[in-house]
Amino acid sequence: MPRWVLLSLLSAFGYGLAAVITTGATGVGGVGAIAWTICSHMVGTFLFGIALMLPLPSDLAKDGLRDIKRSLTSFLPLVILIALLFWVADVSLNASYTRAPNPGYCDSVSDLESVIGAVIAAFLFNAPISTQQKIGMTLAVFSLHFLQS
Amino acid sequence: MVAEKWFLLALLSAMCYSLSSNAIFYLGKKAGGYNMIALNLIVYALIGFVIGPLLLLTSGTEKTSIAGQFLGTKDYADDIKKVFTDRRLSLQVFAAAAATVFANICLYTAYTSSPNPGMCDAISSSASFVSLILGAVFLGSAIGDDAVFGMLMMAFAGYLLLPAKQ
Repeated sequence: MPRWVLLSLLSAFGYGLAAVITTGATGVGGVGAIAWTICSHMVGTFLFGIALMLPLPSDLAKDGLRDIKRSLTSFLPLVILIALLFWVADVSLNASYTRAPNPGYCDSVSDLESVIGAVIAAFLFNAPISTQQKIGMTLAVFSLHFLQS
Repeated sequence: MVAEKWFLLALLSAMCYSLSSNAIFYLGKKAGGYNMIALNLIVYALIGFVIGPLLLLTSGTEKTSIAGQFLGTKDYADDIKKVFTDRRLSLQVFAAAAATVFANICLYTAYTSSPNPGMCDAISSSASFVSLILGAVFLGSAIGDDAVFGMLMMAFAGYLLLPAKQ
């Protein structure tokens, strides 16, 4: 199995595991989704700090400190916008987990981001959309009907 | 058919994630490349240590934040305290954050060696099936035939959305 496939599968496992832990912690008698999101990001900050010091592939390891500095100076407004979008996205997704019959359904609906993202990219950056991608988008929208039932 | 609340919340998250991915794309283009771990670190720090304390200011026994009311979170301040004082919740929050950070790093590392980064995203989006199975096993969550069919459709649609050429 190619290394990138294994890593992608591991990432799927990590995201899936995090979703289930979140569902368990924010369920009946648990904490609220907003508080949970904030706490997990507090812990995540330190973990990303550690990751920055790990011997990762050069594409991931280079210019880390430079980009931390650039995030807080040259690109701060854009980085704040990204943080706000991520916060709303994470809180909504975490809040949806406990209300859905199964957390997997929420993750699947959230996967629609690739369709919405492609449409936005087409408008903002004139990114082309092929016929195959249009079929994929239509299929994704249709799948929502089954996901709701 | 009126959409259920969980569905609307998940849809809202899809919208915000897609806007954020376009904003990251724009940032990378404008900056001439960006270290994604550094960006994640700052984004996480802004959410955890700036937005978090700001929300604390609007949380209390008499008034709650607007977002908190919308999402049904009345005891934001107490919940934060509970997460870091309750041993079980502390372990859970650490495990959830570690799993997410691990997933992010695996995905970014996969991007560096894959023929097409979209393929990594397509495989990584199978996380919904992981949470479907783990949710059923550990939390006793229901699994409906129609919804699983919808999930398979969404996964196939994700594959079709990949760019034809690298």
